[in-house]
Amino acid sequence: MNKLLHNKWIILIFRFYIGSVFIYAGVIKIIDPVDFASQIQNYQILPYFTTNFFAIIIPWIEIFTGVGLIFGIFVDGSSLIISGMMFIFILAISQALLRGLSIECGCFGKTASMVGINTLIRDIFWFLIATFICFRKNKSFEIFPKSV
Amino acid sequence: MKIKNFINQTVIIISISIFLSLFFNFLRSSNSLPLVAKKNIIAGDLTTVDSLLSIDTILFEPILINLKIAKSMYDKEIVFIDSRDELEFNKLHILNAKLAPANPGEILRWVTEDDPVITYCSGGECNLSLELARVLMGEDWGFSKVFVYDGGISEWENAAYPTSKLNE
Repeated sequence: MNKLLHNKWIILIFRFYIGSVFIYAGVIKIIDPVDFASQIQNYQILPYFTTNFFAIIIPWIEIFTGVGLIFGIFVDGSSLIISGMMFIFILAISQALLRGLSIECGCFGKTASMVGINTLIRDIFWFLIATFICFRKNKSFEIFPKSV
Repeated sequence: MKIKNFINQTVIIISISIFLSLFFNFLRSSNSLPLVAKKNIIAGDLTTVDSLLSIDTILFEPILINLKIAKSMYDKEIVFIDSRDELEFNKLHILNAKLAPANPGEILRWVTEDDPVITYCSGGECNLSLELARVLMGEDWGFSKVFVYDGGISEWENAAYPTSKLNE
């Protein structure tokens, strides 16, 4: 594991991969925020009156963190935010599964799959990759802050 | 791994994201969202019900209705569609309500596109009924009058209105 954490190419590939996923996810949601707000409401976690606010800000957080990872800007913060978001999504999906809610994931707008074990596994995978980036030992290919 | 770096960068990214997202939402002319989501639930008496069901009343989107209006429409034998899953439906549902089929078009077995229908789910934060109503009134199915009973089965049951379970 320590070797992997020092491998600048593995880290770069992971950054590009997760960054691309999040930029795509953010753009899709910005195109149709009404639909995304509805999908947030379907999870039945947040108070109804807050769902629009989160539907507005989450896509932009996704885009900025995705751009940050790809271009090597604020990689620490971007990876931490993505890890945190994935952790929250994992909890949200888990509770939806436990409650038997048959709802859309809301991950990629209307093209998204329904909430299920496969979406849970996928989110765990992305959580692990984002966390890996947080703990990277090699900070090559990072523009700002400049790598030591 | 410097904690301070992580925190500072996180705060900066989230602050910029929030600012730009709210600014963009304010500027966009189509598809913008009000900052605070509010349910616009229609209340009223029999006159309101008659007005809603009138052939002259054109709906462009589903209308949320309260318990009183839902009961009045129930008494007029308007079809109720339960948008929850089969397990919850079998535990308890509004008497004579139909379980929403996997293909919304199958609702046409019970009504036509011009007949009013009412969707409901468990109430509270449940949004499945509104989701289904939007699909029914959307381009694919073209139902002209879909109402959403926002209180759901929980409020209906608390009011001691007619309900049913599987095998009853």
